[in-house]
Amino acid sequence: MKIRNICILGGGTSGWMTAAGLSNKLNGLGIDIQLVESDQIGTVGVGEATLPHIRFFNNSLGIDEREFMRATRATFKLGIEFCDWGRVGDAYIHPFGDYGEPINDIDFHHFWLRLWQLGHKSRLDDYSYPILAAESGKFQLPGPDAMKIGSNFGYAYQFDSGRYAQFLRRYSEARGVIRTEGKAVMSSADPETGFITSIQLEDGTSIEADLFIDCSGFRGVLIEQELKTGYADWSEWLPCNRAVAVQCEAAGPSLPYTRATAREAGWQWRIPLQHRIGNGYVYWNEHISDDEAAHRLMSTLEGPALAEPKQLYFKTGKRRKLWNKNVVAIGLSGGFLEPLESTSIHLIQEGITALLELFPDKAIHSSDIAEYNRRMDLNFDRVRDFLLLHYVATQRDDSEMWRYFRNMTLPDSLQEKIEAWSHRGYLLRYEHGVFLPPSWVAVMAGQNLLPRAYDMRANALTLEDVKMRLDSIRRDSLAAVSQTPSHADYLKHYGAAAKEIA
Amino acid sequence: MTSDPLQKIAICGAGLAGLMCAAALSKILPEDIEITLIDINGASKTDMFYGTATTPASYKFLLDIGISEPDLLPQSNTSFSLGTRYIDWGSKKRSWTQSFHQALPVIDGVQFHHYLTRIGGRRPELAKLESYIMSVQAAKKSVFAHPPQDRKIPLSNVEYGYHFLPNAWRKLLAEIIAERRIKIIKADIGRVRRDNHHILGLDLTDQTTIKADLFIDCLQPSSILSSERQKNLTGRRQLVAASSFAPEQTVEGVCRELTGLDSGWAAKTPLQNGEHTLTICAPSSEDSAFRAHETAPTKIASARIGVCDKPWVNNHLAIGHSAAILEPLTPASILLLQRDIERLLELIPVSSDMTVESREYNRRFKEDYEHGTAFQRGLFESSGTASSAYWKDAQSEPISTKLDSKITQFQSRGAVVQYDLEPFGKEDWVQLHIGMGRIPRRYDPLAEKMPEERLLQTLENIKTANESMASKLPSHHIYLTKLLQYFRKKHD
Ligand SMILES: Cc1cc2nc3c(=O)[nH]c(=O)nc-3n(C[C@H](O)[C@H](O)[C@H](O)COP(=O)(O)OP(=O)(O)OC[C@H]3O[C@@H](n4cnc5c(N)ncnc54)[C@H](O)[C@@H]3O)c2cc1C
Repeated sequence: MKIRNICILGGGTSGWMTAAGLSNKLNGLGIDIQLVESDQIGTVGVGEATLPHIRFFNNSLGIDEREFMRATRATFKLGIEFCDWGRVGDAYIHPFGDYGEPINDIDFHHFWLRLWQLGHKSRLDDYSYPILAAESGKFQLPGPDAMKIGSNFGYAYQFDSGRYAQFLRRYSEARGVIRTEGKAVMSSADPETGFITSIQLEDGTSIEADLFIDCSGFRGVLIEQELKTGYADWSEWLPCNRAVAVQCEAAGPSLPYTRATAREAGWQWRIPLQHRIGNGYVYWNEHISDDEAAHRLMSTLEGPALAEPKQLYFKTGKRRKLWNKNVVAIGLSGGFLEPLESTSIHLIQEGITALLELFPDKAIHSSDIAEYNRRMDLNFDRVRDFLLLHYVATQRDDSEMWRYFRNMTLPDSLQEKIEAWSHRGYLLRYEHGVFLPPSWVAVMAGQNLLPRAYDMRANALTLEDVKMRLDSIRRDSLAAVSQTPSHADYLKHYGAAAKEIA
Repeated sequence: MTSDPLQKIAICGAGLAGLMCAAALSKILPEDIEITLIDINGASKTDMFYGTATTPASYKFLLDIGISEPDLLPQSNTSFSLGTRYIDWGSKKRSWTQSFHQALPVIDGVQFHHYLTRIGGRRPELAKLESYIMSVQAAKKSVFAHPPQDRKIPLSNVEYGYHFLPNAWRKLLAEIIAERRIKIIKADIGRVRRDNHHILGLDLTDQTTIKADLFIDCLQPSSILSSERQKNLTGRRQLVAASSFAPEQTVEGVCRELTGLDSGWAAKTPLQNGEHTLTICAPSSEDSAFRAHETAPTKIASARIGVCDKPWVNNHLAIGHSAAILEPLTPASILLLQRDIERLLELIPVSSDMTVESREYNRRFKEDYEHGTAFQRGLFESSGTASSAYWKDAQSEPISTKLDSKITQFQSRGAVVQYDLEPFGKEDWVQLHIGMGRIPRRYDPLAEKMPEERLLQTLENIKTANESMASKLPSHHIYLTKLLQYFRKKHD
């Protein structure tokens, strides 16, 4: 028997992304999709920085980039600038793209290291067009020849998540999604299977469905409160557990990157949109009080605050099963990993993609659930390792928090990666997971973790050859940047700027 | 670099593994690393277990170690391979062509095979995967040409490997190596000097002692060099391989034909100058297996199939058969040998401390062989009536959790479960599952969205495009003959 009705509980970013993805793909199959959200409860609404994969999501929905950017006040994003992570005073950009290009299939950084060790030191960043462009506040879309410098990079967006949800709501409703305003207060389950059969709203309405997508945020109304699925607590590794967020006016032209500045008890984000800047301080409450954190945030704003700061509480980790019985948890209900690398929206997207690929029948097969959970667990684990890397590849020990990370026993998967890099610049690769080798290079090299040796095969080229190759990449990258317009100009010229900005 | 950089590598054994390894290292490593190849008696004894067919990965592998087609084709009897045709396979006597092919098309976000499951319910005659695979169509007609870049031409979806004989490749590699900077010593090992698991040196029968920073073991399983970890193979089956060769003027066929027999199987491989027959059987059924050869087999070898637990211990790395022997049922055997060498190249130690390198090598080795073995195990049913020792043993090999998920997911809904960096891709698995009769019970519901008319038209278009392409291609024999003439003329 086929699934006839789906109920999405929650209308935050995850709820509406799920509604849009499902209504687009399942359109015409006779499946009714309902979404329930409660104004009274509201959304988290701070997730504003994304990864390049979001473009594939929007594309698959057939969304026009300019229209989307205007509607969500979006800016382009070339990467994230990390300040004060390796040492206080340091800064590097983690770009969406490779450094240089491989020579004879050998990763570029080995050649760079060879020169470095011979005393010909240069910034690895100088071989990355997206970094150079970001540093000078410039942007243009990648050109058509993906092999060329200036075209072989990825980009993402920084957008107003509330407006994105509204945008997707219009999209979904146009494709038949029925939205109900109301608070779910109870649910009924099949006594035999334990499957949820319906949820009841405060006003007495009952909504029945074959499949429920829990997008209810941290509460996990169905996956946890009803099904008691359990939570794998990762705060031992990623102990930050609170955030305070506030928007402020922009002081200058918008920048094409996000910034994450390390602090004594956490870190602070800065996300530039077309019309304002999103700011927030993510911290570990054992080492700083809420008041102090709010004060610290407010005192570092670039322009006047646009609202009162908003306090958020969380516990890093993941639901033991993201799919349990007939409930799939997507978004914060499934788990939380701090937004250091803008991964939450990406994980939402992965959840939607995997669900569509493994879309069940009414009698849900346990093998579908197992495969879904295997894929999503892998995604979460690998993001966790990458986030943790930022805290441990550092020389900082100037506060309790940083000293905590010094003494930590890392997950084997991460420990082995760091050792292989430090020993010889080797990167443990995987295929399924969001951060590819260049991202690992960016963070490790950016935080001053340089390998002691490099791949011997890089010695097969003459020194002159290597110098020439590197010089030409650096020159070409700089030349490409000098031809690139400023980000603010490009937004207008491209037709992505909202009316009040253009 | 570190204070005690790697200076000397000794390769033990000049069988296929040793020679390939020597060719790779001498091509890719910087000149100042000294490479010695010790040509030890009997190192090629089990080379037959590398089989006679490679995958498309060989093209780049060979190019990287300095062998391009203008060297390879005129100097050995290698020919092109579009895959393997399994005939009368298993208890159900199934037949299908397992071809090399680019990823099958994804139409409206749905993988191609789901549309076949959809149409198969009502129009089984339209649901034959083989009709839509260009490589299979070419293989059936024994035609071939190098695939072009232009993705609009159906031929661009074709991928190819090679048909080869291990001894022919050994000869070619030996000639190539002779011109490289490798020191070759012909002698046997008298004694291995060890300090715990660390090899200090090899006393050779010519009274010399070989010292090196890294010893690469390309001998037999359980040889004089093997450590305890390397002797500990997981497999239980003992298999006998026998080969014979029938010279012929014109050899048609661009596909290996592998026929299931009661005793095991027989593979006929078309090469430039004749047809090679390889049989595999359990030791108890040698007589009946040998009868599958037209002329009495000239080479016979026996081996225990299995994979060791830790191929790299300290400064001793086992490559190829000293670490694992697979049944040459698919090109997995040679593909994994190539991967052994590639893994080594990426992990050439930077100093005498090889902890990081060996750990990472062993991790990747384990995954690669786990995935390769799963693919081969996928060619056997999990239960059912087995007629002889060969089939009984093969079916009693365990099914790994990963293989189980792959089979369950495919049978249940046509989903292809994939793990990191597998040696065989989606299109290989889809062909394998369908060939083995694992027809999905459901299909991707999104496949339902395409109107029936359009679906029929799409299928028809792909099918006719393939057929028309195949009818225009030259026969493999003619194409290869002309190519050889061209290479030779250019060479002169
Ligand atoms: C401090 C912080 C910073 C972040 N920064 C980023 C970032 O830069 N990039 C990024 O990708 N992600 C970021 N995230 C994550 C991102 O905010 C979330 O992934 C995203 O907002 C999705 O949230 P959600 O839709 O799952 O939950 P929510 O936004 O909490 O939405 C929950 C929905 O469920 C509804 N609901 C709940 N209970 C009920 C009920 N009983 N009945 C009816 N409706 C109910 C609510 O009304 C609401 O509509 C950040 C998160 C935090 C905490």
